[in-house]
Amino acid sequence: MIVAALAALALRALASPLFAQETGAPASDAALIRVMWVILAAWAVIAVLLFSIDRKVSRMERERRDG
Amino acid sequence: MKHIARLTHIAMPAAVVMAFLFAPAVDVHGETGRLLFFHVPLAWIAALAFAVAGALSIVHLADRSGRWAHLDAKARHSAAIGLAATVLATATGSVWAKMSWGSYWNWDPRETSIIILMLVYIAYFSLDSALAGRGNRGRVASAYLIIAMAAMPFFIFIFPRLFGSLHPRSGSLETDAVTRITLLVSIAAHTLLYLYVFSLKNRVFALEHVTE
Repeated sequence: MIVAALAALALRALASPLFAQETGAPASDAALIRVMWVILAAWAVIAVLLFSIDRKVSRMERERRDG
Repeated sequence: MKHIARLTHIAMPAAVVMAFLFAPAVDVHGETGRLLFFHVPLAWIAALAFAVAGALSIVHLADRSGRWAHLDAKARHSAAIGLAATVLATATGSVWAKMSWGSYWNWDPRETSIIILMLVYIAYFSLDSALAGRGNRGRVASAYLIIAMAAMPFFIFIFPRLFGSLHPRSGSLETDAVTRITLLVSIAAHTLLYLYVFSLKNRVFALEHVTE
């Protein structure tokens, strides 16, 4: 069942607007893609913030261990 | 922890892409139902974080040797993440309410119970900050978190079912396998995010408080 579901996922991915060969996706799909990119952009900001905090904390932990 | 960080940075964007491109429109809610893939995981994270905070508080209070002395701080970190997740879950729920029923807030039993839960944990932070610098801060705050943890299931699971609610019940939505997998991936991604942020907060606390 899991294999079938993953296969369905893969087929849907190929049919999704991101991979669509035809030009001009329907208006609702275009809006969905816009919302998706906004959320991905917000996540990118959060990810960069978390990554920079992680790096600073790791450096301080290394200094404390070695110092 | 490095693996959790890497997995989080992969899983979260994957969950977003799956929610918008892979999963079909949800049952009767159509495209607005895609909010489900963020609202449900946020509510799950809130419950998980509050439960972890309560569990850590139990260990802190039961500790006589001082070995788990800093668990009250870790409980506070978990409760903070839980409160943030509750606020976000409420916000996404309000957006869904507007799109589905035309109004951001209806004093629905589910909405009311979540507000009460939020107030319970906001009161915890008020109590904790009021006790800053006092010797009994950890024990009093831990006792409060244990009581809050005991009340949490009532407000999340029982209260909304005692009264009629517009909020969809679990299992009431017709979902196919792709939708269920997308929801599971989103829940897993949000859980990883919780673990990552929780560990970061604990590491920062450990750096600020050098062990004697």
